[in-house]
Amino acid sequence: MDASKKVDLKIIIIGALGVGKTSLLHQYVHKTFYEDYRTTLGASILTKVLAVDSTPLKLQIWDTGGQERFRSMVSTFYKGSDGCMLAFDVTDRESFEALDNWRDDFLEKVIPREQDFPMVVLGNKIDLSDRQVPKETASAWCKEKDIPYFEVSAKNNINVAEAFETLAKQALSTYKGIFESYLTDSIKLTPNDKPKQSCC
Amino acid sequence: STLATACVISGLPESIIAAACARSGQRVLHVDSRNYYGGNWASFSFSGLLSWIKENQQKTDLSDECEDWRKLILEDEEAIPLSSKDKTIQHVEDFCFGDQDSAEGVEEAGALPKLPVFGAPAAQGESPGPEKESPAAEGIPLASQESPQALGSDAARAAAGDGAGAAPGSGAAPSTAAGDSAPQPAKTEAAPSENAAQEPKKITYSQIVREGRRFNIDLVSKLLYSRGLLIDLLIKSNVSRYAEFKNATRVLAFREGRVEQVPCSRADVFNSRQLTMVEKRMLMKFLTFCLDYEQHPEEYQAYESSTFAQFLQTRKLTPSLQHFILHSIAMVSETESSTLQGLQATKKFLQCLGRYGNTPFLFPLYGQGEIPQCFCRLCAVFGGIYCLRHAVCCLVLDRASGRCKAIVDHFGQRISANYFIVEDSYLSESTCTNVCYRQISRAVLITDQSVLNTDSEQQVSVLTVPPLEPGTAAVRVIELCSSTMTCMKDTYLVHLTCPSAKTAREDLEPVVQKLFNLNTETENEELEKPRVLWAVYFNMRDSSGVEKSSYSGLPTNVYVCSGPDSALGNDCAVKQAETIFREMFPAEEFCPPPPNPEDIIYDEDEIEPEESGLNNSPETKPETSAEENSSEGGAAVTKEE
Repeated sequence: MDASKKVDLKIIIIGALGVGKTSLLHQYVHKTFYEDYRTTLGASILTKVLAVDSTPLKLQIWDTGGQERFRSMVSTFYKGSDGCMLAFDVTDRESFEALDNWRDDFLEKVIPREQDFPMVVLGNKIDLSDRQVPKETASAWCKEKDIPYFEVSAKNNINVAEAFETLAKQALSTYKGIFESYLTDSIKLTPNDKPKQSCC
Repeated sequence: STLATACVISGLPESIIAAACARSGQRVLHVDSRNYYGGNWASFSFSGLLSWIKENQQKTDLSDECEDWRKLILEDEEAIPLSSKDKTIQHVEDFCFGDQDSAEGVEEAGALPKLPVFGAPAAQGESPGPEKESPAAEGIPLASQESPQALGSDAARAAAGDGAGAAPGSGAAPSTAAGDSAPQPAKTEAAPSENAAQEPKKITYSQIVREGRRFNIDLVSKLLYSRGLLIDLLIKSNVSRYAEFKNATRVLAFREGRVEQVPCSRADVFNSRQLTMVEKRMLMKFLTFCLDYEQHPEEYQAYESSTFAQFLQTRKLTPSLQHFILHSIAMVSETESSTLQGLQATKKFLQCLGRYGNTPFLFPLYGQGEIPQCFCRLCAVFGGIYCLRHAVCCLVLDRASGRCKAIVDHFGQRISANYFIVEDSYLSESTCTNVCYRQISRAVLITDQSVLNTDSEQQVSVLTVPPLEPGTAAVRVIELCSSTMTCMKDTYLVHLTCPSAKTAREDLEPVVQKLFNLNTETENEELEKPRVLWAVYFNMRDSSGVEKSSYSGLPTNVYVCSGPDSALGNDCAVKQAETIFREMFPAEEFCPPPPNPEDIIYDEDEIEPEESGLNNSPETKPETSAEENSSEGGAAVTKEE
């Protein structure tokens, strides 16, 4: 593989409303955190370039755009994803209990492949004191599903990068094992392309 | 509180309008009664399509489900009920040409990670195998082809990945892929594919069921013109970020009982082995003239009242060239289209060549059904609220002003807004009494081989079959390979479309019979034709072009969007959306580029992909101006009326 060619991977981040998905994304990509809750506005795909095992990766991380509120995510969101980040809020028991649904939703909507889909679970807001989901509970759930678990804080930037990088590694090794990867090389439209005059 | 806009149903025009409204700071609620997006623009997995077929074949006569809303209508108000049952799809007929019984008990393979892989190597003939490096199919320019103007890696990837027969290893069968992982040097002809000599794999119905989720079957069959309203809008609005595209790799013609490839670009013509030298010169000369025809009125003025077909006859072109130009390039009617229409259509085709690839057309990865969803996503990202499974029962009018002030949903909730966008199929019969609809005949086939086998299996082809009988319509055929992510490996998804004269099956089956083999037992003489494994026919209402005034009793602040039209491109939907948006908000810009880059790329080598000339500082905070800290969430700035 040409080392100067980045591998494009699509990662999606799902979970209940308000668990901190956007904050996690912003912390990872922009190293910023905003205290006041605001739904995703304007930002919907953030990109991070990193190297994993000397392979340059371009992670395209898709936020939900707020459509999870009424479980109305467009299926476009799921298509072509190489990995999934499930997030919940450790101070919100319901958001943890919803993980099963979110995981099932993902597995239902994504196009099946021969390999397993890389996933990680993030328990966010460990900086807060009114915890409702003990670490052991979350770990047990994740162990049962064979998914890595990370306790994180978007606010204090704890474990955020580790979680994303773990997922990226998994996604990359899965990507390398897939036959169809090169077949779906596709055209991405950009505003900068300067088309030449018709070649007739 | 009052929304600016409520949209009902999530087809393409409605979704574009929703996105435009959200982008200009309006609060938008977008609902759809179904549990999927797109309405008649949607795409389905195989099992999803089977459910859709069943639903549309059942003649259930649902009585109005939403009776209670009448209680919510006040004295000074009036209600316009909306329709609860969709009536836009008719004459749905599906056929399975394989052994349907063998699929008893076969389950669609899911993505549940810990279950055994259903697509077992023996059944599929493929061995997933150990870790393989994905072959670098990118960045290899093709010597013989006009590469689109390369800017960054993307265009080069397009040139390499999609040229007919030139993508390295693209024709290789899975079991032989291991040796093909090295990128191949540029050649004018592709390395012969290992598959070329093999017989088509025998795909069974049960395999289709099992691999059902690999299918993304569109109800609407269209392509994007590389220079067209939709592409321009996707790029301008940045919605293009949410989708990826494949080139249509071939333009085909059906002549004298055979499918042929039509050379359209200079390079194609040059390399064609079917055209004689004389024909090549003739064709180039004519196409060069067309590209610029307005500058040479003397060439066509005398024929302005003739048909394009007649005009072509005077132009020193062989019959086969005339056929190519009329049916596959201009794609206009032999009997109805004028010289000017033909010239304009030819020019449009030619102008679109070379922008992204060798043909004028692109196709969205995963199918046309992605496009409305991409606009919905943009709307959501700018604060639009999305609710599937949310039906609307009626519009509520204010008697005094005659304006619509609210909708009532099936939960009995009133939702107020200033503007309402409703798709035609949602309007009741009484609202549509004076409307005359056309119909579109559609067929979708799953086949086992391409209509035209060449070195490369991974082709996306558009073929226009001229009317088989006088007075019938030309039939447009689009054949999709598995790398478009619309069908499983070793199959093709074939879409047929024409304006309806009769039922879809009556309109389209004759063409299917010409191009394909419908027998389950392969007859000798039919061996060359691809086998149809499964087919569905249906008629879809064409509500495009209906004047708003044809609808009875609709207030001025209720706008109607049409369903899909039968044209190849998407101009109709985009024009409609823009017209309606401008009526609602004349002072606003239609889908401007987002003000801040959505993604920052922390790599100096990368070209800044987004907006030109706007303030692009990577450390920009999220927009503070366009936000409202409301407990409802999802609120954008509410503009004062």
